[in-house]
Amino acid sequence: MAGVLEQILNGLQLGFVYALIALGYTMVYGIIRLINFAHGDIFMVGAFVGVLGYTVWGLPFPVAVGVAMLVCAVLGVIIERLAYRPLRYAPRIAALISAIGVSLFLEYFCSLNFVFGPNYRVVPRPFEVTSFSVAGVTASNIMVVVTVVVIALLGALQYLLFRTRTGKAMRAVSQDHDAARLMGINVDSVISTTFAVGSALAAAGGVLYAVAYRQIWPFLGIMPGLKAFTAAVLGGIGIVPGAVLGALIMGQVDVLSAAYVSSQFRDAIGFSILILVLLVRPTGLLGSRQPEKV
Amino acid sequence: MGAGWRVLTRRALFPLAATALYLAVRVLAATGLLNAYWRLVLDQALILAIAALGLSLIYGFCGQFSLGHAAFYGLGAYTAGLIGKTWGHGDPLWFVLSLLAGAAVAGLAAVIFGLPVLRLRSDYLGIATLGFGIIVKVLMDNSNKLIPATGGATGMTGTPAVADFTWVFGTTVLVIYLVRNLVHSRYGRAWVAVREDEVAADAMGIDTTRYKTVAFALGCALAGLAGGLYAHRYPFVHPSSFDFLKSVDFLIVVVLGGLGSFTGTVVTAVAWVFLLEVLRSVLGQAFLDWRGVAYALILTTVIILRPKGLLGGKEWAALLPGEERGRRRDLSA
Amino acid sequence: MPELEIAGLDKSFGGLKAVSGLNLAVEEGELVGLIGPNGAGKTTVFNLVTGLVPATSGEIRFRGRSLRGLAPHRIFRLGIARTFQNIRLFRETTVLDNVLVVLDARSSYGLAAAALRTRRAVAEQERARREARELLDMVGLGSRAGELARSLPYGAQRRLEMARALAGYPHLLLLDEPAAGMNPSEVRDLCGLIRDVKRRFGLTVLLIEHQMGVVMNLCSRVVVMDFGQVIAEGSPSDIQRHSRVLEAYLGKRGSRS
Repeated sequence: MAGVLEQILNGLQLGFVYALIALGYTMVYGIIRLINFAHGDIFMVGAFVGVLGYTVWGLPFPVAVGVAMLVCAVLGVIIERLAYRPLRYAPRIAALISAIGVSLFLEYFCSLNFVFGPNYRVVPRPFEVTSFSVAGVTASNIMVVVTVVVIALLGALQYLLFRTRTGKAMRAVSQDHDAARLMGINVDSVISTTFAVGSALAAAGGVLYAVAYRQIWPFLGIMPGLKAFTAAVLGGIGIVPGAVLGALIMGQVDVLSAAYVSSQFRDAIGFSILILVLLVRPTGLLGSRQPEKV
Repeated sequence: MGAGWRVLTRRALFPLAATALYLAVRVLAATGLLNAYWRLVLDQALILAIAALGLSLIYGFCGQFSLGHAAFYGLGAYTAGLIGKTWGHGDPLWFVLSLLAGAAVAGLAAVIFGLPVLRLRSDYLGIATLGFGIIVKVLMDNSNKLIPATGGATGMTGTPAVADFTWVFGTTVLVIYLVRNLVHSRYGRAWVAVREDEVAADAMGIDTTRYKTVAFALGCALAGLAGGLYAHRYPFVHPSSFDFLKSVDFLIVVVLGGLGSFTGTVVTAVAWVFLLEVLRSVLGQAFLDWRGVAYALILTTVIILRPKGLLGGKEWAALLPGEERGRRRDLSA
Repeated sequence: MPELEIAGLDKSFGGLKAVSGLNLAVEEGELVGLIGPNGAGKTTVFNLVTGLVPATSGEIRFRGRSLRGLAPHRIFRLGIARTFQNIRLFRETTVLDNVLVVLDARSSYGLAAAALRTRRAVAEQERARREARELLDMVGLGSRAGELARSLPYGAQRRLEMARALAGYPHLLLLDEPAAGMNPSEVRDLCGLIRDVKRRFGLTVLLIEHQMGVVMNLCSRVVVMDFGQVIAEGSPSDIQRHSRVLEAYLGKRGSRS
């Protein structure tokens, strides 16, 4: 029984990391209807920058996380400006292809020897790892760090979205670009902000992932990226709480199927569940079922 | 004589051009001007074109977004490869049978998967097909537990390399001909109607579910056919050749070729493969690492400059049936 | 037996009752106008009849046959065709193909014949193509058959929608604001066209229209809806004098047409 609970805790930790990535996917989709395939790679860049921060540059861990978030926020804004904005009024598929191009660019560019290099790197821990047990269930302080950071960031996002003018503008733009523009909202800057916020969250997720799972390489972002995107769709894409819910489910599915079914079939199980959910609820768990207007 | 002769030459232009191209490649190969490496690249391009034509039917014409096309390509490769390896041993009749079986298995899987899933719209369908692709890849990685001959995650060897240029080229020409005919039949028109406005199509008497399923099954069968050729052209079949990135390859070709243009799909498939290989020789050994970077930059730049594809949805007039020529936005117009 | 009979029809979207307890009968050969203020539920009635949205409760019968649970394409094949208020053509394809795709349903060649382009398939296509051209000529678009549907001006797009609907050789034609956005001379031509096709195809027509001139000119009977219900019906001249109609439709806010 304690073993199951430990696995559930592991799933929660992974789900929290997925949540930080899924939020960026869902926010960007909500605002410009784009599957930002480069988002998983921003997560990867965040992981590298954060790890470099507290190892090579000798920054304290929280500062390193902050630097990674800042770097990725800027990176996200630049990507949107260069690769997506010119295509805003083009067919939607064009922006998707552009996003795939950006994704491949980040992966291959980071693989160059003078950037991060093509190989796996083992990540040193930024702090002593200690375990403790509560009622027979063992957990580590890493789990606590991940939980605290994620909950703090979710709180900050909630505040941003629902208590600030910026958040209000973001919600307005996600409903209707033209109407928002008529109300005097600068749509371009709202979209930039969305990319900045989403990318910063992914960067934080990247650093936490690196610390928790201890291996990083330039193609690190692909699978967690796909999983997080799946999570966003599972919860109902464009809906912020849906992304968190979907991510927590994906985290449990990943860990529990690896532990109790087979680690080889883990990905197949996750995506099977996604397909089944979509068949029953085509717009995700929390998605509204609005029929198409005739 | 004048007008009749013109009609005759127009009708004969495609077969003539195809024959000329075939002979040119054979002559270049025989004289050694086209070495084995570039012949391999050419065959690779044509195989890509066949599978991409399948996706063109599904997405370009019928508007059904698929991010899992490589799964069906892989199903065809494994099916045909296994048959060729177990019973074929290089016999041409078995080879043809294995190709048909590969196409049939891929098409059947498409019907079984498509019937429930094709109800989903645009991005949701994309993500469901992406999921299907990943599931099939996992099954391929573990397939040796059920069928040891597939080799599972270590890959499959032993399929006879029967598919030479003649087979690959002949199949490509046949597929182009069939796709051309379908696109200009009631099927093609119904697919385009579904792509343009599914609700209106339904309200105008078009059984959208049926036409979507037919497009998906046929398109995936073409991917399976291409996979069968691939397995008989390259001695080594591995699950990683059928992953998400391969699906992206097909999608790139269809989008850059211009949605709803089969000429664009074929031309782009060949151009894209050759561009990548030329890049390899231009960059040379020292800059091999830069190849992926260059690929990504070219892709993003091209789509930003030409968001509606390189040819913008046009068709080569010589490929159109008589009654469509001159009326459509063909390349000569 | 009426051509179209609607009894106790209800449709709610969430809490909103778009159509509530609607009763309506249209006899064969009639040209009935369906009018009412915006949001009265007129287009929803069309969507219910053509099967695009399912009814919450109630019954729709066409030539005595219940339409309950039938998919839109099945209802179309029974002989009910429509146009859309917000024009829904197949935009990125030719004018001819917009009509041809509907006529294609009458062809009998299968997938293999299409792929191999058999003699029969070609012959059937040729026949459908001729028919499509005739329909286009009828609505005055014969010379624009090769253009893309989206490149047509607004009025021509509405006429193309009519040709596309007629390609199903319907018994009942539902026209949703066919004159919207047209100038007076186009409206005059349209009225002539509607009369003409009604006679040639032996149609029953149900017409939603805000331009009262069109309704008064064309319709033998007018049905007024408000809040999802029929509030009045009668001859055009009766309706113009009807006080409830004036209040609901023309209202104290002044004329809408």
